[in-house]
Amino acid sequence: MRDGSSPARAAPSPYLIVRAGDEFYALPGDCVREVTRWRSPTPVPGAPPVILGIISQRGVILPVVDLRIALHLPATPPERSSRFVVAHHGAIELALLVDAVLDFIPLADEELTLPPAALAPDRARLLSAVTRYENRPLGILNFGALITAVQEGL
Amino acid sequence: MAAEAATTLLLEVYTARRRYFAPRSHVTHIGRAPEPGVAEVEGRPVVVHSLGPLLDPEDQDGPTQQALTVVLRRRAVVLLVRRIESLQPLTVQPLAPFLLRCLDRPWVLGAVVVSDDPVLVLDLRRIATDLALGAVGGGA
Repeated sequence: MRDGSSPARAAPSPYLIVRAGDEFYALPGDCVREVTRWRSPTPVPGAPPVILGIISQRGVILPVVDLRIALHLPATPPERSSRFVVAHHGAIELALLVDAVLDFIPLADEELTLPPAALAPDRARLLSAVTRYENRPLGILNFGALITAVQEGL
Repeated sequence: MAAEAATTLLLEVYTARRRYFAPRSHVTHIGRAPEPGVAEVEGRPVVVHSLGPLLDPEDQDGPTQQALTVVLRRRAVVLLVRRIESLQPLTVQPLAPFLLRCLDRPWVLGAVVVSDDPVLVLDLRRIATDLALGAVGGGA
């Protein structure tokens, strides 16, 4: 830098790293309320396949959204590592089923890039950015876009 | 904003695979399943259907059947269930508007949390109306 000072950098933001199928995704930490073990949701008649049903979390009834189905990945039976990520976007709160919760890490804006143009549109619209995690691709989920996609029937 | 929870007198009903609640006020008669060939209830043509398969195609009839009769203006609808277990006042929590907007049919009024598990509270009047109109269940 010419005057020896550098532009102010935004502080890294926390992200929850999850696994869906064999792929890694990150949820912005500010939309995550808690992580809880999987248990069988109560199915709701007439719900689309991406909504597995409802659970009660601390007495609050939450819809369960399967992240694998939202991303058009194969949905497999729950494993010991399966978790619900209770997350919110504005007034909407839901439990997101993931195959595993891996980490909670800070990511700086400089580490993030736009999703590649070659990515399938129905998946790209759920991502705000991509980066790398443990040398593998990591998609940064746009939680608002995910909710919109679920409401639109994906 | 979600609607506030309300206490309602609810019937606890079991299908072959699942448990549901339904408002007592939606049901005109509770009893045994009607004999085959019964054509009218309270002077109205009757539609008879099992409740379980309407809500979950894998939820097929069980051996013991009781009947919940919902009398509408022009028709009576008899919904068959495996058994009716109890009648109790319970607090119904509404479902999230986000979820309600995603449902094909508005058949659920909310849920009751029992032992940390949510149990659906059914809108039997809406279900009966859809059956009477032939919108579900293979026609009236």
